[in-house]
Amino acid sequence: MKTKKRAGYCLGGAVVFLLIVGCILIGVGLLGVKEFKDIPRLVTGFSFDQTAPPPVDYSSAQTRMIQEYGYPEGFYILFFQREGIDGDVEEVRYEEWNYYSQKVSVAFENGEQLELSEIPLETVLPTPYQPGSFSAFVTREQVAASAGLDEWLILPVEKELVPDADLYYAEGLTFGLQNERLVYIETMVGKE
Amino acid sequence: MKKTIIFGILAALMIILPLHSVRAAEKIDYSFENSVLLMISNHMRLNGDVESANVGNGHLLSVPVKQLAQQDKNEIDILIELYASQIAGLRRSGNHSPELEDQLINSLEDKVNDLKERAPKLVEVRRTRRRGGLFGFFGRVAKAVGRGTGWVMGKTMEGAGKVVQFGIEEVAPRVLKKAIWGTNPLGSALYRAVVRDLLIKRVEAVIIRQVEKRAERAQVVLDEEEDDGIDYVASMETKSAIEESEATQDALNENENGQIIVSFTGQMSFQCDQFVGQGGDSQMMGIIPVVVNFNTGAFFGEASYSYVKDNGFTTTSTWVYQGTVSEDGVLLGTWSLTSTVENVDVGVIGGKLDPAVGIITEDGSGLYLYTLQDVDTEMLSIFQAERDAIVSALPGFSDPSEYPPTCRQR
Repeated sequence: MKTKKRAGYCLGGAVVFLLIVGCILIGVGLLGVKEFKDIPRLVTGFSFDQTAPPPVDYSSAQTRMIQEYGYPEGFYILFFQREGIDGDVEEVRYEEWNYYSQKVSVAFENGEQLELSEIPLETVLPTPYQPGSFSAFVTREQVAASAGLDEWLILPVEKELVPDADLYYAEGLTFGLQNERLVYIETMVGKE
Repeated sequence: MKKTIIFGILAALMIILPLHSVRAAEKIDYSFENSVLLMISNHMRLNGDVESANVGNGHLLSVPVKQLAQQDKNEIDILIELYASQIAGLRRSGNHSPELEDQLINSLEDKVNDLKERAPKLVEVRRTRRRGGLFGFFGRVAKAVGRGTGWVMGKTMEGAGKVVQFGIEEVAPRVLKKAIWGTNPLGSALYRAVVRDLLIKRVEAVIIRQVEKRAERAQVVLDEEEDDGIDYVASMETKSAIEESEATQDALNENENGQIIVSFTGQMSFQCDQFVGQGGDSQMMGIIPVVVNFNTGAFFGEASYSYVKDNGFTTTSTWVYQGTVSEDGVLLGTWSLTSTVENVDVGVIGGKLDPAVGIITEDGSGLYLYTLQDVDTEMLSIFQAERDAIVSALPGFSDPSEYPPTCRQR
């Protein structure tokens, strides 16, 4: 009877011990995941099985710019949402195209030309990327497929600045993801 | 049983209602501010304004890094400043109707308040120092274990690729630039990488354009809400919209200087329960074209209408508005009203236009015409004055006070 009781205690103790160890391992694992996500890291050798999303159609105003000046020498795009007239959420693609050699900068919102302004003349190495290659709220894998990237540096930003956001630095390109979706992309242009 | 059913319904409501409110609040997942903050942060990091080694929930890595000086502005501070300058600009400009201006300012103030709540948290997390004592020790041990686990997991989590460098201790601008240039030997220097002034100008331009867009959209909403008042339609039209409108196509003229004369038409209607001693409903409709010459700043509007009352009187009236548009877009001038009842000339009455009745502004993309926004009370008083004048002129109706002003806006 006494032996049985002792065996019961041992078994109970073992179960509690295993539970504690399991909890610690799970905790450490979760902490590891969190730490991993919070720390800057350089990643290379992608093996994404991902096809690039279809290119964005240029608006008539954008087509006119391309016909007149060619593809932009540098650009940035912001993707965001806002409340529409009817109270629904509408997506906005705000982009600025820069032609340093022509001293021209032009802004578009959802393809509609907003403003054409003058910028200083510069001799730069034009970006190999085209704005139409990047769609709103795509994943980083789709960005990589669209831009043909094979390496990037991931820099998490503080959640107090933007929650669940990372900045990415790749060849000639930087971009920002929020909730793992593209919300900002910019080409980095070099001087000759 | 009844109690069980009621309890069940209440429980279901308690579950469903909060879900609805949460959904409403989280309608916008990707805000303009967050996209812009990422852009600002990116450039500040490239410029060395923000050192990136101090990342995550305020934990510090082993290598001491340059901390942001307390007086330095962070990304949120910059955005707050830009919004604040927009609010001040809106208050000064008077480019919009007061109602629209209030709407825009309120919306920007909401954004500023939201950002102000976030700013101290960011400052705090960037100021966090290494914690001492037993808690600090255990914290560091836990983090070290966690990072080790993370490193192992990272090999698979990144899934897509191989983590070649994990836990980069100090992400200085040179590290970022190296990532951007990769193996490109020509990329010795980044253009525009990145002067703070240029960045701020850029972000300011984006904000201004977004405020303009919001103003356009809000104006459309305001116009739609005007329906309950006097029907004075199309308070804002762009040049292109006017050009596309068949009804006003003929009214568009261009003078020899290439400036545009817009003929603006609207419609108003009144309903009178009692008029000139007669009971019952009467209704009159009128069209007032207001012609604005943007070359001279002069405007002119004329409206005529006539109708037959139940008592057989025919009333013909003509309103005339004329004056100039001031530099800040306010209509200044006079109005006059000429009326006849059958063949009796009632005479002319008139007065000064309230400067608040109209605003005309111009921007790069077209001419915006805000006309007679606040015209309802003005029109009503004119109408009542007209009625008094007519009543006074009619035999047997010498005292206008016999006919209380029962005309009301429709």
